[in-house]
Amino acid sequence: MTTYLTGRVGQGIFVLLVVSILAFGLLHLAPGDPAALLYGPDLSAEELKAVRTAWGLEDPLPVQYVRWLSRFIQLDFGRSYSDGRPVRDVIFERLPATLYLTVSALGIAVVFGVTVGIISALRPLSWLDYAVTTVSTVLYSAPNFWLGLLLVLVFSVWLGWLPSAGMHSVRGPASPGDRLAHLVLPAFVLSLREVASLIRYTRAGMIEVLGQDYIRLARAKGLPEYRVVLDHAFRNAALPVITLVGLFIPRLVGGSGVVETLFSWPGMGRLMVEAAFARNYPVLMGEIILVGAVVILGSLLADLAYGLADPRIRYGGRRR
Amino acid sequence: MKTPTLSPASRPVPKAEGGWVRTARVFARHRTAFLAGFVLGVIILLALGAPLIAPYPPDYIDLGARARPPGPDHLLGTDRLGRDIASRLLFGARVSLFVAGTAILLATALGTLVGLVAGYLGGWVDAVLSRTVDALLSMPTFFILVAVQSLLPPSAWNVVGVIGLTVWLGLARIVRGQVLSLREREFIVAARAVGVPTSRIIARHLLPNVAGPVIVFATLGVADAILIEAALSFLGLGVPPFEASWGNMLTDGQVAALSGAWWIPLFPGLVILVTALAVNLVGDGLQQAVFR
Repeated sequence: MTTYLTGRVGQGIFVLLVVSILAFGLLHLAPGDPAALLYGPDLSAEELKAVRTAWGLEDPLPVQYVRWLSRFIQLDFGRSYSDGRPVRDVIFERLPATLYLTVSALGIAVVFGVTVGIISALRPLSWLDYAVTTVSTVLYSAPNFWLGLLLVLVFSVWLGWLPSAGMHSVRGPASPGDRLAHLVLPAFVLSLREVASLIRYTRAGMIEVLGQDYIRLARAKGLPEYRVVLDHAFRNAALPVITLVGLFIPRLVGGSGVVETLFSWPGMGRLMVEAAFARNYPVLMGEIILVGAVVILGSLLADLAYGLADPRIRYGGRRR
Repeated sequence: MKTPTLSPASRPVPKAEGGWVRTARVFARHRTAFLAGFVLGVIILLALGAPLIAPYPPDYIDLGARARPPGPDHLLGTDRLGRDIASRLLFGARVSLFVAGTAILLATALGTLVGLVAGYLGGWVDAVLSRTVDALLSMPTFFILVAVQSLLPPSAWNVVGVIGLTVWLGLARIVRGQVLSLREREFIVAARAVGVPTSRIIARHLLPNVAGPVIVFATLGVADAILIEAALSFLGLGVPPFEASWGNMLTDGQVAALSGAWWIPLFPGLVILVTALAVNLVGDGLQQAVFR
């Protein structure tokens, strides 16, 4: 197991290196000059060139990459082009806002998705199952930001119950209630697709597993129904759930560009959109590497969780 | 929606001869799916016939009729430039359906193949493929978009590329997860023991057993692709604005909605919803037909 873990961590670092080379190369080869985008017509061509030289963009690409990498190893992510602040500070300023939003959304998704999926699978083809399947299919088929727009239209514009933008009121104290009111719509909208797909996969997996002989045996030997469902059935239906949660992990840190843009949420997703439009290379690289590291960690955790859920899956060992 | 007859011990049963005929018959009996297929067919026909049906050219700007609510002249109203929303939806259907279909064909083939091979062969093959998937998954969609933009001139093909290259990764992981468990089962071990070649084990024994997730994925994927196009266009990074697509019709829907012009975001969103729903229901029907 230790060998397996060491191997995976080594592979992870290697992947991160590949990601950084690919990202750095493609970003710098893509059209668009960050200096021109930032200063536009205010500066002459010579002055723009001076800015690019100061940012090190006039050097050959490999030189730039090695310089970026050697600083990165010392945890120096460079400075943002737009305001000159260290990228590390910019990211750590945005990260809490995104985590606050995405962890709430993931919580909503797992609690609702798995619970509703299991309940639906216990009585397949009942009216409840029919309703759940209908709602989840409709939810899955709607653009989440469009639903968000309609929710804003209803709850913010027409009813005036919930705020439509930001993390807290600009004026007045940011009380817990105020923060919660600002969280409701974005977290709900961000969780919608995950709720819908978790319901689908949990339900499908549970229905298949519940038809197996060992479930009938578990019931026949008199186990309470909740143990049959949770211990025997859900464990075997959990693989797709683990995969889906694993796929959501990068979004925890990276945020959602669309939802954060829609609700003016000051998080990582919007930072990425802004940086992409401005070709703000240091910020983009910082975010890509950070998200990349989290993805690799998430993939490792998902694989370890497969092993817990299904002991038939073995890692590192020999085939019997 | 779901109207199969589930026997208590329903499992994928190997199909007898003439399986496809039976599959087609079961699908036709599945009324919801059949209806959804019909709706989808109508949408495709409308998209193909757009130049014949549309009351206005999609780019016809009538500055005298800006942001008009639905009425006799403009059945679904006009947008903020005075363009007829119904006509733009008809022409937008061509772009949106083309982008989604092409991208998912690409993604499904790639994802299934990589997942099967990585999961079954294991060892260094799995390590290389899984790490490649990890590396690509760890690159945000925007980043891949920027990369693709640098290689192609701006067009709907950009979006096909972006969706095709990002969407298959999730499928590859799901298929691999299933195969990791399947390859230790008796029927696979038995097939290996009697010397069935690896390519045949993958094609004849593993593929049918992962067909479920693949079908779920491919159908949900078409809907996904429509939604991703919409999201990218919403941010101004998708299909270029001069080409009407369902996604970029939503772009200024946000501003329009806040000023009370609800019909500008409502109708494109509804069309996306109905199309994606029809695709998903057809997929459900297919899935149940295939597994009978």
